Amino acid sequence: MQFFEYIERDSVMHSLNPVVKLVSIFLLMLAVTFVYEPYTPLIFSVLAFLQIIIMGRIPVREVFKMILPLILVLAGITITSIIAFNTAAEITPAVLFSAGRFIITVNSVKFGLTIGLRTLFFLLYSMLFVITTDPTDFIISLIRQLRLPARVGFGTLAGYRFVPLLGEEYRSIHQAHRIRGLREDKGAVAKFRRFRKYAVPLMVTATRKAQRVAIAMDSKCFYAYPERTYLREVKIRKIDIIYSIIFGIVCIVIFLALRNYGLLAWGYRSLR
Amino acid sequence: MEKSLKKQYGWTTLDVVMTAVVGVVFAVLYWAYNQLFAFVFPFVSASPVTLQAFVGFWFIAGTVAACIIQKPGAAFLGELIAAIISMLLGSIWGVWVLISGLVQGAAAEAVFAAFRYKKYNYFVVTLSGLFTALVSFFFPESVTEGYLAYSIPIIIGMLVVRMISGAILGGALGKAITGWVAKTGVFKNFKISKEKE
Repeated sequence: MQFFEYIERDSVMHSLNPVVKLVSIFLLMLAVTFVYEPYTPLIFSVLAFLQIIIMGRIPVREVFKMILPLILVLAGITITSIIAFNTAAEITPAVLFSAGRFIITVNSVKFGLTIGLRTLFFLLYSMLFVITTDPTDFIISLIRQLRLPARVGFGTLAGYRFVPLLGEEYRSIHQAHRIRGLREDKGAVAKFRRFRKYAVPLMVTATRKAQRVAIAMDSKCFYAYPERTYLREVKIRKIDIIYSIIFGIVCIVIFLALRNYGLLAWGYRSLR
Repeated sequence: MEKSLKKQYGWTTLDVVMTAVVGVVFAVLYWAYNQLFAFVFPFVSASPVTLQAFVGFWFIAGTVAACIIQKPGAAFLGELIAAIISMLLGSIWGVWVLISGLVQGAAAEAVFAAFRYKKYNYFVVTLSGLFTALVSFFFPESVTEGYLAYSIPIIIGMLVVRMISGAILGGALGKAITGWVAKTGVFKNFKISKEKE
Protein backbone atom coordinates (compact mmCIF):
# COMPACT_ATOMS: atom_id res chain seq x y z
CA MET A 1 0.00 0.00 0.00
CA GLN A 2 1.30 3.42 -0.85
CA PHE A 3 0.31 7.06 -1.16
CA PHE A 4 -0.97 8.37 -4.45
CA GLU A 5 1.81 10.48 -5.80
CA TYR A 6 2.34 13.21 -8.33
CA ILE A 7 4.22 11.80 -11.31
CA GLU A 8 5.97 14.43 -13.38
CA ARG A 9 5.30 14.17 -17.10
CA ASP A 10 4.81 16.49 -20.04
CA SER A 11 1.19 15.83 -20.98
CA VAL A 12 -2.16 17.48 -21.64
CA MET A 13 -3.52 16.53 -18.21
CA HIS A 14 -0.41 17.90 -16.50
CA SER A 15 -0.68 21.25 -18.27
CA LEU A 16 -4.27 21.92 -17.15
CA ASN A 17 -5.18 24.35 -14.40
CA PRO A 18 -5.70 22.30 -11.18
CA VAL A 19 -8.97 23.97 -10.20
CA VAL A 20 -10.41 23.59 -13.71
CA LYS A 21 -9.43 19.92 -13.65
CA LEU A 22 -10.92 19.44 -10.19
CA VAL A 23 -14.19 21.18 -11.00
CA SER A 24 -14.67 19.28 -14.28
CA ILE A 25 -14.07 15.99 -12.45
CA PHE A 26 -16.41 17.01 -9.64
CA LEU A 27 -19.25 17.93 -12.00
CA LEU A 28 -18.97 14.55 -13.73
CA MET A 29 -18.87 12.76 -10.34
CA LEU A 30 -21.96 14.64 -9.25
CA ALA A 31 -23.85 13.54 -12.37
CA VAL A 32 -22.74 9.89 -12.14
CA THR A 33 -23.60 9.74 -8.44
CA PHE A 34 -27.29 9.99 -9.21
CA VAL A 35 -27.17 7.22 -11.81
CA TYR A 36 -28.33 3.82 -10.55
CA GLU A 37 -27.19 1.26 -13.06
CA PRO A 38 -23.72 -0.28 -13.47
CA TYR A 39 -23.10 0.67 -17.13
CA THR A 40 -22.54 4.40 -16.71
CA PRO A 41 -19.89 4.17 -13.94
CA LEU A 42 -18.22 1.33 -15.87
CA ILE A 43 -17.95 3.36 -19.07
CA PHE A 44 -16.71 6.44 -17.25
CA SER A 45 -14.17 4.29 -15.36
CA VAL A 46 -12.82 3.20 -18.74
CA LEU A 47 -12.74 6.87 -19.84
CA ALA A 48 -10.82 7.79 -16.67
CA PHE A 49 -8.37 4.97 -17.26
CA LEU A 50 -7.78 6.08 -20.86
CA GLN A 51 -7.34 9.69 -19.72
CA ILE A 52 -4.73 8.58 -17.18
CA ILE A 53 -2.64 6.48 -19.57
CA ILE A 54 -3.12 8.40 -22.84
CA MET A 55 -3.76 12.03 -21.91
CA GLY A 56 -1.69 11.81 -18.72
CA ARG A 57 1.02 9.56 -20.19
CA ILE A 58 1.22 7.53 -16.98
CA PRO A 59 2.55 3.94 -17.33
CA VAL A 60 -0.17 1.29 -16.86
CA ARG A 61 2.04 -0.45 -14.28
CA GLU A 62 1.93 2.62 -12.00
CA VAL A 63 -1.86 2.75 -12.20
CA PHE A 64 -2.28 -0.90 -11.26
CA LYS A 65 0.22 -0.60 -8.43
CA MET A 66 -2.08 1.96 -6.85
CA ILE A 67 -5.44 0.31 -7.62
CA LEU A 68 -4.77 -3.36 -6.81
CA PRO A 69 -4.55 -3.02 -3.00
CA LEU A 70 -7.94 -1.29 -3.04
CA ILE A 71 -9.77 -3.99 -5.01
CA LEU A 72 -10.60 -5.81 -1.76
CA VAL A 73 -12.36 -2.70 -0.43
CA LEU A 74 -14.27 -2.29 -3.69
CA ALA A 75 -15.41 -5.93 -3.46
CA GLY A 76 -16.43 -5.35 0.17
CA ILE A 77 -18.46 -2.27 -0.72
CA THR A 78 -20.19 -4.19 -3.52
CA ILE A 79 -21.12 -7.10 -1.23
CA THR A 80 -22.35 -4.83 1.57
CA SER A 81 -24.55 -2.95 -0.86
CA ILE A 82 -26.00 -6.15 -2.35
CA ILE A 83 -26.90 -7.43 1.12
CA ALA A 84 -28.27 -4.16 2.44
CA PHE A 85 -30.39 -3.22 -0.57
CA ASN A 86 -33.99 -3.05 0.47
CA THR A 87 -36.00 -5.03 -2.01
CA ALA A 88 -39.30 -6.86 -2.04
CA ALA A 89 -40.01 -10.06 -3.94
CA GLU A 90 -43.40 -8.87 -5.16
CA ILE A 91 -41.93 -5.73 -6.77
CA THR A 92 -38.84 -7.30 -8.30
CA PRO A 93 -39.70 -10.90 -9.10
CA ALA A 94 -36.25 -12.10 -10.13
CA VAL A 95 -35.22 -13.59 -6.75
CA LEU A 96 -31.73 -15.11 -6.74
CA PHE A 97 -31.55 -16.11 -3.09
CA SER A 98 -33.90 -16.00 -0.14
CA ALA A 99 -33.83 -16.99 3.52
CA GLY A 100 -36.97 -15.98 5.37
CA ARG A 101 -37.46 -12.25 5.00
CA PHE A 102 -33.97 -11.80 3.62
CA ILE A 103 -33.87 -11.84 -0.17
CA ILE A 104 -31.39 -11.04 -2.87
CA THR A 105 -32.78 -10.15 -6.27
CA VAL A 106 -31.30 -9.28 -9.63
CA ASN A 107 -31.87 -5.68 -8.69
CA SER A 108 -29.89 -5.99 -5.43
CA VAL A 109 -26.96 -7.28 -7.46
CA LYS A 110 -27.42 -4.39 -9.88
CA PHE A 111 -27.44 -1.97 -6.94
CA GLY A 112 -24.29 -3.53 -5.48
CA LEU A 113 -22.48 -3.37 -8.80
CA THR A 114 -23.59 0.24 -9.23
CA ILE A 115 -22.09 1.27 -5.88
CA GLY A 116 -18.93 -0.82 -6.39
CA LEU A 117 -18.24 0.42 -9.93
CA ARG A 118 -19.08 3.96 -8.93
CA THR A 119 -16.43 3.77 -6.21
CA LEU A 120 -13.97 2.49 -8.82
CA PHE A 121 -14.94 5.49 -10.95
CA PHE A 122 -14.36 7.91 -8.02
CA LEU A 123 -11.03 6.22 -7.36
CA LEU A 124 -9.81 6.46 -10.95
CA TYR A 125 -10.77 10.10 -11.41
CA SER A 126 -9.20 11.16 -8.12
CA MET A 127 -6.10 9.23 -9.16
CA LEU A 128 -6.11 11.09 -12.49
CA PHE A 129 -6.21 14.34 -10.55
CA VAL A 130 -3.55 13.52 -7.95
CA ILE A 131 -1.12 11.80 -10.29
CA THR A 132 -1.12 14.68 -12.82
CA THR A 133 -1.27 17.68 -10.46
CA ASP A 134 1.71 19.25 -8.73
CA PRO A 135 0.55 19.81 -5.11
CA THR A 136 2.18 23.25 -5.03
CA ASP A 137 0.33 24.32 -8.17
CA PHE A 138 -2.89 22.91 -6.72
CA ILE A 139 -2.65 24.99 -3.53
CA ILE A 140 -1.64 28.12 -5.44
CA SER A 141 -4.54 27.51 -7.79
CA LEU A 142 -6.87 27.22 -4.78
CA ILE A 143 -5.56 30.59 -3.57
CA ARG A 144 -5.76 32.29 -6.98
CA GLN A 145 -8.91 30.82 -8.49
CA LEU A 146 -11.00 29.82 -5.47
CA ARG A 147 -9.83 32.64 -3.18
CA LEU A 148 -8.55 30.39 -0.41
CA PRO A 149 -6.85 32.76 2.09
CA ALA A 150 -3.13 32.78 1.22
CA ARG A 151 -2.02 32.20 4.80
CA VAL A 152 -4.17 29.08 4.98
CA GLY A 153 -2.91 27.94 1.59
CA PHE A 154 0.77 28.39 2.33
CA GLY A 155 0.27 26.93 5.82
CA THR A 156 -1.25 23.85 4.20
CA LEU A 157 1.61 23.66 1.74
CA ALA A 158 4.13 23.87 4.58
CA GLY A 159 2.17 21.15 6.33
CA TYR A 160 2.12 18.98 3.23
CA ARG A 161 5.91 19.13 3.22
CA PHE A 162 5.81 17.58 6.71
CA VAL A 163 4.28 14.32 5.44
CA PRO A 164 7.62 12.56 4.73
CA LEU A 165 9.03 14.08 7.94
CA LEU A 166 6.16 12.58 9.91
CA GLY A 167 7.09 9.15 8.55
CA GLU A 168 10.68 9.70 9.69
CA GLU A 169 9.44 10.92 13.06
CA TYR A 170 7.30 7.80 13.40
CA ARG A 171 10.32 5.58 12.75
CA SER A 172 12.49 7.39 15.28
CA ILE A 173 9.77 7.17 17.95
CA HIS A 174 9.49 3.47 17.19
CA GLN A 175 13.25 3.05 17.55
CA ALA A 176 13.28 5.09 20.75
CA HIS A 177 10.63 2.76 22.17
CA ARG A 178 12.56 -0.31 21.07
CA ILE A 179 15.87 0.87 22.52
CA ARG A 180 14.18 1.39 25.88
CA GLY A 181 12.80 -2.14 25.74
CA LEU A 182 9.14 -1.21 25.26
CA ARG A 183 7.18 -4.30 24.31
CA GLU A 184 4.53 -4.02 21.63
CA ASP A 185 1.72 -6.18 22.98
CA LYS A 186 -1.19 -7.35 20.92
CA GLY A 187 -4.87 -6.85 21.71
CA ALA A 188 -7.21 -3.90 21.52
CA VAL A 189 -6.23 -2.23 24.82
CA ALA A 190 -2.51 -2.52 24.08
CA LYS A 191 -3.10 -1.14 20.59
CA PHE A 192 -4.93 1.85 22.04
CA ARG A 193 -2.08 2.49 24.50
CA ARG A 194 0.40 2.24 21.65
CA PHE A 195 -1.64 4.71 19.59
CA ARG A 196 -1.28 7.14 22.49
CA LYS A 197 2.47 6.52 22.77
CA TYR A 198 2.87 7.45 19.11
CA ALA A 199 0.21 10.15 18.78
CA VAL A 200 1.52 12.36 21.60
CA PRO A 201 5.18 12.66 20.49
CA LEU A 202 4.04 13.04 16.86
CA MET A 203 1.73 15.89 17.80
CA VAL A 204 4.44 17.51 19.91
CA THR A 205 7.01 17.56 17.11
CA ALA A 206 4.36 18.71 14.63
CA THR A 207 3.42 21.58 16.96
CA ARG A 208 7.05 22.61 17.32
CA LYS A 209 7.47 22.57 13.54
CA ALA A 210 4.31 24.65 13.16
CA GLN A 211 5.70 27.22 15.58
CA ARG A 212 8.98 27.45 13.69
CA VAL A 213 7.18 27.88 10.37
CA ALA A 214 4.87 30.53 11.83
CA ILE A 215 7.81 32.48 13.30
CA ALA A 216 9.60 32.30 9.95
CA MET A 217 6.50 33.56 8.15
CA ASP A 218 5.99 36.41 10.62
CA SER A 219 9.64 37.45 10.65
CA LYS A 220 9.63 37.68 6.85
CA CYS A 221 6.52 39.87 7.00
CA PHE A 222 4.41 37.27 5.24
CA TYR A 223 1.16 38.95 4.33
CA ALA A 224 2.07 42.29 5.81
CA TYR A 225 0.21 43.96 2.93
CA PRO A 226 -3.12 42.87 1.47
CA GLU A 227 -1.77 42.89 -2.10
CA ARG A 228 0.87 40.31 -2.89
CA THR A 229 2.71 38.88 -5.85
CA TYR A 230 3.35 35.25 -6.66
CA LEU A 231 6.54 33.54 -7.72
CA ARG A 232 4.61 30.81 -9.51
CA GLU A 233 1.66 31.97 -11.53
CA VAL A 234 -1.19 29.51 -12.00
CA LYS A 235 -3.72 30.93 -14.43
CA ILE A 236 -6.67 29.71 -16.45
CA ARG A 237 -5.43 29.47 -20.02
CA LYS A 238 -6.88 28.72 -23.44
CA ILE A 239 -6.09 25.00 -23.13
CA ASP A 240 -8.27 24.82 -19.98
CA ILE A 241 -11.26 26.25 -21.81
CA ILE A 242 -10.75 23.95 -24.82
CA TYR A 243 -10.33 20.91 -22.54
CA SER A 244 -13.45 21.78 -20.51
CA ILE A 245 -15.57 22.13 -23.64
CA ILE A 246 -14.32 18.88 -25.21
CA PHE A 247 -14.60 16.96 -21.92
CA GLY A 248 -18.13 18.30 -21.41
CA ILE A 249 -19.17 17.29 -24.93
CA VAL A 250 -17.67 13.78 -24.56
CA CYS A 251 -19.50 13.24 -21.26
CA ILE A 252 -22.82 14.47 -22.65
CA VAL A 253 -22.43 12.25 -25.74
CA ILE A 254 -21.76 9.23 -23.49
CA PHE A 255 -24.86 10.00 -21.41
CA LEU A 256 -26.99 10.46 -24.53
CA ALA A 257 -25.70 7.22 -26.07
CA LEU A 258 -26.48 5.31 -22.86
CA ARG A 259 -29.97 6.78 -22.83
CA ASN A 260 -30.41 5.92 -26.48
CA TYR A 261 -29.73 2.25 -25.70
CA GLY A 262 -32.10 2.44 -22.74
CA LEU A 263 -29.33 1.76 -20.21
CA LEU A 264 -29.42 5.02 -18.27
CA ALA A 265 -31.47 5.12 -15.05
CA TRP A 266 -31.54 7.90 -12.45
CA GLY A 267 -32.22 7.45 -8.73
CA TYR A 268 -32.27 4.24 -6.68
CA ARG A 269 -36.05 4.02 -6.99
CA SER A 270 -35.55 2.95 -10.60
CA LEU A 271 -34.24 -0.36 -9.20
CA ARG A 272 -37.29 -1.06 -7.07
CA MET B 1 -11.82 36.53 4.30
CA GLU B 2 -8.11 37.02 4.92
CA LYS B 3 -8.69 40.28 6.74
CA SER B 4 -11.65 39.03 8.73
CA LEU B 5 -9.74 35.97 9.92
CA LYS B 6 -7.08 38.19 11.41
CA LYS B 7 -8.90 41.26 12.65
CA GLN B 8 -12.29 40.00 13.75
CA TYR B 9 -11.42 36.70 15.31
CA GLY B 10 -7.85 37.32 16.40
CA TRP B 11 -6.23 34.57 14.38
CA THR B 12 -2.44 34.71 14.51
CA THR B 13 -0.14 33.28 11.83
CA LEU B 14 0.68 30.55 14.34
CA ASP B 15 -3.00 29.63 14.65
CA VAL B 16 -3.34 29.29 10.89
CA VAL B 17 -0.19 27.21 10.49
CA MET B 18 -1.09 25.04 13.48
CA THR B 19 -4.55 24.34 12.08
CA ALA B 20 -2.96 23.35 8.78
CA VAL B 21 -0.47 21.09 10.57
CA VAL B 22 -3.23 19.42 12.60
CA GLY B 23 -5.05 18.83 9.31
CA VAL B 24 -1.95 17.26 7.80
CA VAL B 25 -1.11 15.07 10.82
CA PHE B 26 -4.64 13.71 10.92
CA ALA B 27 -4.78 13.28 7.14
CA VAL B 28 -1.79 10.95 7.51
CA LEU B 29 -3.50 9.18 10.40
CA TYR B 30 -6.69 8.92 8.29
CA TRP B 31 -4.60 7.37 5.55
CA ALA B 32 -3.17 4.80 7.99
CA TYR B 33 -6.68 4.24 9.35
CA ASN B 34 -7.95 3.67 5.81
CA GLN B 35 -5.40 0.88 5.42
CA LEU B 36 -6.59 -0.71 8.65
CA PHE B 37 -10.15 -0.18 7.49
CA ALA B 38 -9.42 -1.89 4.17
CA PHE B 39 -8.09 -4.84 6.13
CA VAL B 40 -11.06 -5.20 8.48
CA PHE B 41 -13.56 -4.28 5.78
CA PRO B 42 -14.23 -7.82 4.50
CA PHE B 43 -14.92 -8.98 8.09
CA VAL B 44 -17.34 -6.25 9.11
CA SER B 45 -18.86 -5.46 5.74
CA ALA B 46 -21.39 -8.27 6.06
CA SER B 47 -23.47 -5.79 8.02
CA PRO B 48 -23.66 -2.13 7.04
CA VAL B 49 -24.45 -1.34 10.68
CA THR B 50 -21.14 -2.58 12.14
CA LEU B 51 -19.31 -0.69 9.42
CA GLN B 52 -20.62 2.58 10.83
CA ALA B 53 -18.78 1.98 14.12
CA PHE B 54 -15.53 2.99 12.39
CA VAL B 55 -16.75 6.23 10.85
CA GLY B 56 -16.23 8.59 13.81
CA PHE B 57 -12.46 8.74 13.54
CA TRP B 58 -12.78 10.66 10.25
CA PHE B 59 -14.23 13.64 12.16
CA ILE B 60 -11.36 13.98 14.63
CA ALA B 61 -9.21 16.62 12.85
CA GLY B 62 -11.86 19.31 13.27
CA THR B 63 -12.29 18.51 16.96
CA VAL B 64 -8.55 18.61 17.68
CA ALA B 65 -8.05 21.87 15.76
CA ALA B 66 -11.01 23.45 17.58
CA CYS B 67 -9.73 22.32 21.00
CA ILE B 68 -6.25 23.76 20.42
CA ILE B 69 -7.08 27.01 18.60
CA GLN B 70 -10.46 27.74 20.26
CA LYS B 71 -11.38 30.40 17.72
CA PRO B 72 -14.17 30.63 15.13
CA GLY B 73 -13.40 28.62 12.01
CA ALA B 74 -10.83 26.27 13.54
CA ALA B 75 -12.96 23.12 13.34
CA PHE B 76 -14.00 23.90 9.78
CA LEU B 77 -10.49 24.71 8.56
CA GLY B 78 -8.89 21.76 10.34
CA GLU B 79 -11.29 19.25 8.81
CA LEU B 80 -11.14 20.90 5.37
CA ILE B 81 -7.34 20.83 5.27
CA ALA B 82 -7.35 17.21 6.45
CA ALA B 83 -9.71 16.46 3.55
CA ILE B 84 -7.53 18.25 0.98
CA ILE B 85 -4.43 16.35 2.11
CA SER B 86 -6.41 13.08 2.33
CA MET B 87 -7.39 13.48 -1.29
CA LEU B 88 -3.78 14.15 -2.29
CA LEU B 89 -2.53 11.10 -0.39
CA GLY B 90 -5.16 8.98 -2.11
CA SER B 91 -8.61 7.95 -1.04
CA ILE B 92 -11.14 5.71 -2.72
CA TRP B 93 -13.82 8.36 -2.34
CA GLY B 94 -11.71 10.79 -4.33
CA VAL B 95 -13.00 14.28 -4.87
CA TRP B 96 -16.01 13.51 -2.68
CA VAL B 97 -13.62 13.61 0.27
CA LEU B 98 -13.41 17.37 -0.23
CA ILE B 99 -17.18 17.68 0.00
CA SER B 100 -17.21 15.40 3.06
CA GLY B 101 -14.57 17.63 4.64
CA LEU B 102 -16.59 20.77 3.95
CA VAL B 103 -19.79 19.28 5.38
CA GLN B 104 -18.16 17.62 8.40
CA GLY B 105 -16.18 20.76 9.18
CA ALA B 106 -19.28 22.94 8.91
CA ALA B 107 -21.32 20.60 11.13
CA ALA B 108 -18.67 20.54 13.86
CA GLU B 109 -18.25 24.31 13.54
CA ALA B 110 -21.99 24.83 14.01
CA VAL B 111 -21.92 23.08 17.40
CA PHE B 112 -18.93 25.09 18.65
CA ALA B 113 -20.63 28.25 17.37
CA ALA B 114 -23.79 27.33 19.29
CA PHE B 115 -21.68 27.54 22.46
CA ARG B 116 -20.26 30.87 21.25
CA TYR B 117 -16.78 29.40 20.94
CA LYS B 118 -16.43 29.53 24.71
CA LYS B 119 -16.85 25.91 25.75
CA TYR B 120 -14.58 23.09 24.63
CA ASN B 121 -15.33 20.50 27.30
CA TYR B 122 -16.18 16.84 26.82
CA PHE B 123 -19.89 17.55 26.57
CA VAL B 124 -19.58 20.05 23.69
CA VAL B 125 -16.97 17.98 21.87
CA THR B 126 -19.07 14.82 22.11
CA LEU B 127 -22.09 16.72 20.88
CA SER B 128 -20.07 18.03 17.93
CA GLY B 129 -18.95 14.50 16.97
CA LEU B 130 -22.51 13.26 17.26
CA PHE B 131 -23.95 16.08 15.18
CA THR B 132 -21.24 15.71 12.53
CA ALA B 133 -22.07 12.00 12.27
CA LEU B 134 -25.75 12.79 11.83
CA VAL B 135 -25.32 15.50 9.18
CA SER B 136 -22.67 13.72 7.11
CA PHE B 137 -24.79 10.57 6.99
CA PHE B 138 -27.37 12.34 4.86
CA PHE B 139 -24.95 14.41 2.84
CA PRO B 140 -22.75 13.39 1.18
CA GLU B 141 -22.60 9.74 2.28
CA SER B 142 -26.20 8.74 1.55
CA VAL B 143 -25.75 10.21 -1.90
CA THR B 144 -22.48 8.48 -2.72
CA GLU B 145 -23.16 5.14 -1.02
CA GLY B 146 -26.89 4.93 -1.73
CA TYR B 147 -27.82 4.39 1.96
CA LEU B 148 -31.37 5.60 1.38
CA ALA B 149 -32.05 2.48 -0.68
CA TYR B 150 -31.68 0.37 2.49
CA SER B 151 -34.67 -0.58 4.63
CA ILE B 152 -35.71 1.77 7.44
CA PRO B 153 -34.61 -0.46 10.40
CA ILE B 154 -31.12 -0.79 8.88
CA ILE B 155 -30.89 2.98 8.33
CA ILE B 156 -31.89 3.65 11.95
CA GLY B 157 -29.39 1.08 13.22
CA MET B 158 -26.65 2.63 11.09
CA LEU B 159 -27.48 6.13 12.33
CA VAL B 160 -27.40 5.10 16.00
CA VAL B 161 -24.08 3.27 15.71
CA ARG B 162 -22.65 6.08 13.59
CA MET B 163 -23.63 8.78 16.09
CA ILE B 164 -22.07 6.84 18.99
CA SER B 165 -18.93 6.35 16.90
CA GLY B 166 -18.85 10.06 16.04
CA ALA B 167 -19.28 11.06 19.68
CA ILE B 168 -16.52 8.74 20.94
CA LEU B 169 -13.95 8.51 18.12
CA GLY B 170 -14.62 11.89 16.51
CA GLY B 171 -15.35 13.92 19.64
CA ALA B 172 -14.11 12.54 22.96
CA LEU B 173 -10.94 10.94 21.55
CA GLY B 174 -9.95 14.24 19.92
CA LYS B 175 -10.38 16.06 23.22
CA ALA B 176 -8.41 13.32 25.00
CA ILE B 177 -5.51 13.58 22.53
CA THR B 178 -5.29 17.37 22.95
CA GLY B 179 -5.34 16.81 26.72
CA TRP B 180 -2.42 14.37 26.57
CA VAL B 181 -0.41 16.67 24.32
CA ALA B 182 -1.26 19.76 26.39
CA LYS B 183 0.34 18.11 29.43
CA THR B 184 3.73 18.30 27.70
CA GLY B 185 3.43 22.11 27.69
CA VAL B 186 3.97 22.43 23.96
CA PHE B 187 0.76 24.45 23.53
CA LYS B 188 1.92 27.39 25.63
CA ASN B 189 1.35 29.87 22.78
CA PHE B 190 -2.23 28.76 22.18
CA LYS B 191 -5.53 29.63 23.75
CA ILE B 192 -5.90 26.09 25.13
CA SER B 193 -3.10 26.65 27.67
CA LYS B 194 -5.04 29.56 29.18
CA GLU B 195 -7.73 27.11 30.24
CA LYS B 196 -7.86 26.05 33.86
CA GLU B 197 -7.05 22.38 34.29
